[in-house]
Amino acid sequence: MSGLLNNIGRNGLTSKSGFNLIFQRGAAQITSIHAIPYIRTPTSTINHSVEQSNLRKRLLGRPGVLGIKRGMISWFTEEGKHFAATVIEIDACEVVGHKTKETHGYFSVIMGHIDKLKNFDTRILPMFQNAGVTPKQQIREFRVRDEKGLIPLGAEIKADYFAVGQFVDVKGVSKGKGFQGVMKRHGFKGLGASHGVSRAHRSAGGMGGNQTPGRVLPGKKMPGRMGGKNATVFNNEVLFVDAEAGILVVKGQIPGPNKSFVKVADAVKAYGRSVNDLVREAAN
Amino acid sequence: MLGIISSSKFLVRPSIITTIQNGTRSFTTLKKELPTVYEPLPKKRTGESVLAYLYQKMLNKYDPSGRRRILSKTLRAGDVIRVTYLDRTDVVGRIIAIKRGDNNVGSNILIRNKLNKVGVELRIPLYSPKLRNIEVIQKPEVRLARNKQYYIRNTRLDVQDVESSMKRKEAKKIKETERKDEKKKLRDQKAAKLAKTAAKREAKNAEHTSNSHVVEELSKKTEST
Repeated sequence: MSGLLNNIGRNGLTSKSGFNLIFQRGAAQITSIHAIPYIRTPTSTINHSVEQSNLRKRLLGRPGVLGIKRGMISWFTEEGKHFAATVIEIDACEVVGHKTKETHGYFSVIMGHIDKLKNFDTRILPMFQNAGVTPKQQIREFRVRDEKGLIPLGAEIKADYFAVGQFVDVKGVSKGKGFQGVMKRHGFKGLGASHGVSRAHRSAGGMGGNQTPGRVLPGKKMPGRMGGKNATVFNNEVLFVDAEAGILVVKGQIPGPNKSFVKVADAVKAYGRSVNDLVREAAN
Repeated sequence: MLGIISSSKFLVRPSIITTIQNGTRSFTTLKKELPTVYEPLPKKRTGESVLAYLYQKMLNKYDPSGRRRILSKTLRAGDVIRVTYLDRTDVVGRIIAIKRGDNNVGSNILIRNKLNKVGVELRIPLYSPKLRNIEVIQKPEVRLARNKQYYIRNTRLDVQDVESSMKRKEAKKIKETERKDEKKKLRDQKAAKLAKTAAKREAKNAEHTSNSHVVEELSKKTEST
């Protein structure tokens, strides 16, 4: 008998009465009418997508400010502590435009600074007219988390936008150093000063293996152009602010030579939140 | 916020599209007008440079009386100064170099001294709010060459223990003045003595003369008798 049932189980026969007979381990079972045969699981999100990436991105709630590096000074605190600081000028920094999720896929504020009254590009003049501001010398955009961060068009942002004591990130283009060797560019140690080293004291040394891999691996640190690249200095403390005079003083140094343009924004590491973070915080 | 400068609208330039007919040119205006340009914001700091403005502000804050600014001009390498801090501690040393910032609060003074025969150097921020006073103790009679006298380190021109040498000098001065005083005293005493003796002698002489007068009188008397 058992042999017969086993045979039926293998073949999956249907009984004459119409019940589905499921045979397991040689025993016949009838599916309960209360049983849930299957559940539709939610479609899995593809994390490696623009939308999900945008939700994960740590962004600021408000845009930053455009400035000009003016030089470094000595700074004393009230307690008499003494350190170096950098002076940033904020000259007629105004909101010129917006980018929204509907049209561009993300929110950002376009800002311009330094009034330019000659030789402007007529193609971008409508943007300034729309915002109600003078044509600007430089235009840059600051990405913000959501539409709350979109400052109204034409608003002037002054130095007191930042509070004394808060932290800011400063972005700029570092000073160009030209074509440099590995010692200066990557901090290699170079070769020996003696012990038979001949005319290769500042050389890089080995470039890789021999027959295996038989090539120099990609990304090998070599001599080349140094500096002149975008650089960010994180978490600089704001020491002094003068809105009327357009002066912002931050502690420490910032990239680039004097008179270069920089972007100053709230410190991402201190104040940056992603949309997902906010949802999580609200849930808690 | 800003007034539109209607007059600064760009003039619409004509564009030629048709051929010349009977010596006249026909044209159509551009459909799209060029945009308006708004006037710029007023200039900040009345056009003054940012750093100059800030330097002035900071100097006024850290040196309201202007005394330090005068010091930065008058002090020179070779002067011996005493710097007193707010907590009343002080340091003494000879100025080796003064780094004068471009009229800014970054100026500082490098002073050198010797403590237990070991050279000690200290860089003092001139406008530091920690300082109470900077006092010039001594100015050299003959100045060494250069404004930055780094070359004197560990040579025969090097700074000696400024404080003890000052003390020694002071002691010497005091001694000298004491000696002078003593000498003067002695001289005075001598003079007084001489004067006394002279006066005595005079008095004696006077007595003698008066006595002789008496004697003369007596002799006259005797002659008459």
